[in-house]
Amino acid sequence: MTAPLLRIEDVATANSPALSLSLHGGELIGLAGPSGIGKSQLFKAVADLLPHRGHLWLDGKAQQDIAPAHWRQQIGYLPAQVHWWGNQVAEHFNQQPPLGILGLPDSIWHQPLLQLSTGEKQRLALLRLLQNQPRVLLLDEPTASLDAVNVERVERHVQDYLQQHQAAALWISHDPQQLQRLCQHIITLRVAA
Amino acid sequence: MIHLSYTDLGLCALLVIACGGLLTLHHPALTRQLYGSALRCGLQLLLMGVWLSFIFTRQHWGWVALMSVIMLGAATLEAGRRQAVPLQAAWRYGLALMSMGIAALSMTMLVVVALLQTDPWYSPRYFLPLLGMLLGNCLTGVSMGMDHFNRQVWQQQAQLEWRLALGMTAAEVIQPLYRQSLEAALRPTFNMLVSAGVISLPGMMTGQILAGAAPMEAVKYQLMIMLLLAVCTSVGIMLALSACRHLLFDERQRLDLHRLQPPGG
Repeated sequence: MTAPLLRIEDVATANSPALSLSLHGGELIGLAGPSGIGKSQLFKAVADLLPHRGHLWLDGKAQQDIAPAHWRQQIGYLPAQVHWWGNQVAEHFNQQPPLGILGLPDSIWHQPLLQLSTGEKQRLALLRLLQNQPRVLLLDEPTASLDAVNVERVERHVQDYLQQHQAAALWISHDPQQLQRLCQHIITLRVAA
Repeated sequence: MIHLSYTDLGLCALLVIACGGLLTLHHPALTRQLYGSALRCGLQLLLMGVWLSFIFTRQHWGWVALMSVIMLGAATLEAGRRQAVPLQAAWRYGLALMSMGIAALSMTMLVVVALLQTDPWYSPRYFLPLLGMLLGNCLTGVSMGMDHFNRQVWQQQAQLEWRLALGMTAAEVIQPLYRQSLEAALRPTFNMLVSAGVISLPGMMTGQILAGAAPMEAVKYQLMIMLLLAVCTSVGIMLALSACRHLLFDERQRLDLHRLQPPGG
């Protein structure tokens, strides 16, 4: 068996149960569990955005030995709700991504963000995240605001990305069928007894 | 110099009483505030006059130091008030004390030692009024800057976190808010500079002219004070905001807002 890309050992925040797993290149693992159990908190901990206990290694290198900004470029975290900082779409990107691949028209590039729907902003956020070419994706309900056609586009794009870059992903969803369709493994978080 | 008697001041007080009567017709609650504030102002200034007369006759560095500490303490307490999302008390007052203390004391020392060359350098007639004016302006800037910065960070934490998640450093993420807060806090100082002599006659200059000084001499003093106010306020705000900027991230450049006290929190 190859060495894991990301190893998570007993990682937990003040408001989440502990998580331990290993992710390999090309692998997609689903994370399920009731609302409020702390799935998003765990993602933030793995992305090093929240203080946490436990240990993480990327390519065998411990988290504390990697500069925070570099760690977060490699571990791409997509929150369930993204808060943009500029006015126009183009301000947030280094270069124009392939918008059409997620069903977004080119005209959106110069539009104010205020005029976009939640679903459009969600797809743009994924494209922005992938621009960093992260090794691991942490996707927190990335299709929650999308119709069936766009759900399929996003799923296919993520799978293609993982294959092309030999990256890995953790995917949070409240749709069990989606997780079964996409993931090699599903981890269900439960409240500790 | 035309001597001003206590009877003259009494006449001014009568005007305030009459104004209060007029105000009652429009907003009765404000009349009490006007009388209370005017009374407080009168008592404070009279006490200050007695106190300064005492210190001026002593010419001892100990009294000047004591008065400076009292003024700095009062400015610190005032700067820490009226914050929408304040830092914890120790940090809030500590930062205000540090930033205003460094800015105002260093600037006052510079003036008395290098520009005015007073003898002794701590001559209370010069040292204390200068320190007071610099502290007064600095406290407004520091208070506004800290309030604006902490409020913005609190309101925009989700956006800041998303930018961190995209691999930006804490310095990159906080820079726009730092600049906005600096601008907001410095705006009144810039307005004061551009309006001086055209829209308003600054208080100190007016006071000197009324007290019999030559207009050009009053202008030179006023100009010196205005330029020093701008420098002192800018330095104070930059020190306070730089410290705030570091306090709100931990050693792994994670947004760490446990030192902020949100409304209702």
